[in-house]
Amino acid sequence: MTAPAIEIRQLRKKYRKVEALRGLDLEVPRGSICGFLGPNGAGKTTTMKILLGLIRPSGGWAAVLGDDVRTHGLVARSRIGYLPQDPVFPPNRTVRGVVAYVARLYPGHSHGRTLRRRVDGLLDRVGMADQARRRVRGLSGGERQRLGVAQALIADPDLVVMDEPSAGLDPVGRRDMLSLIAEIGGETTVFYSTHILDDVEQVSDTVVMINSGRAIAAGPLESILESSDVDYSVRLRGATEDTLARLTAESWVQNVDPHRRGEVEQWKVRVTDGAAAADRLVSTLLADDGCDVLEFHLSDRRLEDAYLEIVGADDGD
Amino acid sequence: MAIDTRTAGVAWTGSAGVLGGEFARWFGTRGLFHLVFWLLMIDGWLYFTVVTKHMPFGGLGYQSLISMLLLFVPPAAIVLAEATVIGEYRSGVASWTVSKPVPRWGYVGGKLAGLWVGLSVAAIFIPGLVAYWWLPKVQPYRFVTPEAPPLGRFLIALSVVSLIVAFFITMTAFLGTLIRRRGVVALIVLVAYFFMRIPPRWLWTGWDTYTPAGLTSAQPGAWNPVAGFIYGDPLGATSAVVWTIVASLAFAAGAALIYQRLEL
Amino acid sequence: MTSEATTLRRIETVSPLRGLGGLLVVELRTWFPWRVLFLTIAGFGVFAMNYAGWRAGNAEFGSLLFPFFGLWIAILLLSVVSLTEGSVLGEIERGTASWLVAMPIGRPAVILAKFFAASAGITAAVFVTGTALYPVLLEASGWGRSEFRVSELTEVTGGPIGMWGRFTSLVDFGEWIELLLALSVFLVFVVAVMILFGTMLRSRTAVFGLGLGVVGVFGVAALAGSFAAASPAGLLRVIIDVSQGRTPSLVIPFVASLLWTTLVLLLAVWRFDRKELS
Repeated sequence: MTAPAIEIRQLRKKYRKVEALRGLDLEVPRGSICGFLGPNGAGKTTTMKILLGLIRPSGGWAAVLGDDVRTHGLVARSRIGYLPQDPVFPPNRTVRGVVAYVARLYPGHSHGRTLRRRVDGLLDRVGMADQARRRVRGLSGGERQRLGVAQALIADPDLVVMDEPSAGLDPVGRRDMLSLIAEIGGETTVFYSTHILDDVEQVSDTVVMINSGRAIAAGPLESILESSDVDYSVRLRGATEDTLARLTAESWVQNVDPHRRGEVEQWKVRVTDGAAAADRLVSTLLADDGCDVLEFHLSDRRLEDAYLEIVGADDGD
Repeated sequence: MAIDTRTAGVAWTGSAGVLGGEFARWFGTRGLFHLVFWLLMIDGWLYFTVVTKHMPFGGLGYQSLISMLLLFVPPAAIVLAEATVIGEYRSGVASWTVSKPVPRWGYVGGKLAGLWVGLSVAAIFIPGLVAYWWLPKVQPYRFVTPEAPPLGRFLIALSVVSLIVAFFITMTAFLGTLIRRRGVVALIVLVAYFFMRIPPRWLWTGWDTYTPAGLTSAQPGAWNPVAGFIYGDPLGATSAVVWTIVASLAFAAGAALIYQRLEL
Repeated sequence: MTSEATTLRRIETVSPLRGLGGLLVVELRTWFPWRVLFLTIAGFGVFAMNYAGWRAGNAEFGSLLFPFFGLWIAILLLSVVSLTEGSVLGEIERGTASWLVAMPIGRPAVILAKFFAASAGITAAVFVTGTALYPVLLEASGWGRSEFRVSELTEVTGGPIGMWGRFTSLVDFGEWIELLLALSVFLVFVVAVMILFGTMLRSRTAVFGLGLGVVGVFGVAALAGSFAAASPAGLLRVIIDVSQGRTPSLVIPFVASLLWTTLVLLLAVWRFDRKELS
């Protein structure tokens, strides 16, 4: 049986009095694009640094593509491409120089013209071809990210690890990064951390959520999004107080979350009985003449909802 | 950690890559800058001292050359070594490099070896050999034209200077991995260098034997042993040579060991 | 929603020296007490080492005074260069420089605070060490001959520093204070130069190397003589002259050094004012 791309069992990391990881278990299947989600300080970067051999775990075990990161860390890293958060490169090297230098650190790298063609091809793929001769020192944040992707891919890795790849990018940059991740995901396994839940929904097929150093949810994206709860989105105008009171009193309504923007109110109505809601929600809303219903539709459950729910439940525990 | 053939192969490639990267830098802008700088600093200053009337004490050709190499190159090596070891650690470049399949000892060794070889060529051997060529052709202001010493002895003398530079590079690296504050490490090693030049022999008679002080400093009324060796004096400080090599290797090994434990 | 108690006052202009007081306090804390303590202890350590050797060897007072003074100056120069090489560039690299100047703080205040704090720390270390050691030197000077020959000097030190000439015993406190003042002012000039390099260059290695180079150039200029009087090298020349029993005027080198230091500092302020902090 082929080992998973990443396998972590009871991983622990303690910094003096702070426990960054408290028995983390996770598995990332080969060939997947796995989004690694968690609040600030949850242990995402710590986990990635342990996989890359930059820090030592206090306990537990981790393996990358079947190789234990402690005993065969070098071999493991020879199959990983890594994009750190806020990538830092030798400032006096050129863009092309950085990628070529990284290539030479990996076994089986090409040489001479073959290497140069490969480097140029990769720079073109990330949109840095015209910056190839520029020194790293003068690059913007977005350009560093793109260079970071190029140097992560130069060795044809079996696993690409990215720490917050779209952080600090403008909307266009983010869009380009996401399509690059989706493209890479077709060739290799991608494991990336992010705060931007939209990104995970767009490109990931697997999600791992971490909170306070432990995994709190993991699995295919669809299974994370599944829920027995149903949400409706409603826009109203006028005197809505009576309508709100009537709706909240219904037994099949779990809660109503109202927001006002000027004259219009936007409600998110969570119901526990989809059938009852389908039958009676509209009539309940229209019962009051003083209130106009402008829009009404069934909401798709978003990852943000699932994330807030899961993390919130974990914090409550 | 078991060393198997897979790991050994990966380690070799990664280490060679770091070393190759360092050498490549010396063939680019950095190398050109150092070449020009050291030719001016060593040969230019030597010419100023030996040929012009402006220096109150004059220069004695090849002996002055060795003294200048010993005066200028080690402090530069200390400053460059602390920039390499501590600077890259603090900036995050070290972390980025060892996240690749590069063993930490390979990273430290590659950086130090690259710096030592590059600086030795650019600051010691090339300026030294250029001076070897022009010194017999000029008329010094105060003294007679120096006779070119045997080339073999001269190259050995340059190699000993290079060895002393290696000592200070590795000492800086060792302290840099321990202390990791640039100014502090540079200061400690510079002070140590200073005491190699002016040794407190009266405090410890072994100072000349067990440290490079036996090579860099002179007994009263004499040139330092490396300068004297050029014209046939025996290199009486052979034990200092041996101990300088031993100390350099120990510092390098210490730096690699400490780096192995660092969290990046 | 605004509260009557917290009406914000619009600042129309920012004085170049705005924030100097607060920054100076922060910078002084960098130097006091640990760096000053280190410099002072280093001075005492150098003296102790030389004293031990002097007591074990010959009893010539010059064999104690000159090696100590030469070593002490050299270590102070190395220390000043090492401790100030990162004062500007270190802040820029860490991002704290951008953070500071994004607040209503005058850019000149950032540079001046660093300069004054470093100058105060170094001057304090020089005078504390020098003043504390004076009674010991005074006592020791009575134990040996009062004259000293060049050959004996070379015997002790060897190398280039032995070329600095003869030393006679110093018993005059006024002359000793002149030496300390000359040394302090020269070191303050070196601080200004290091700060200027920090505003001009992008590499700390280059700042360090050039700083050592400037020190070397002024050291050689002090020997050459002709250039010395109109520059800070004149202060080193004063040290040499006083130690040789001459009584040079401190005024011209002192004024010249202050002018040079002011010029260098103004250049550093101007450069930092225009520097892009990204």
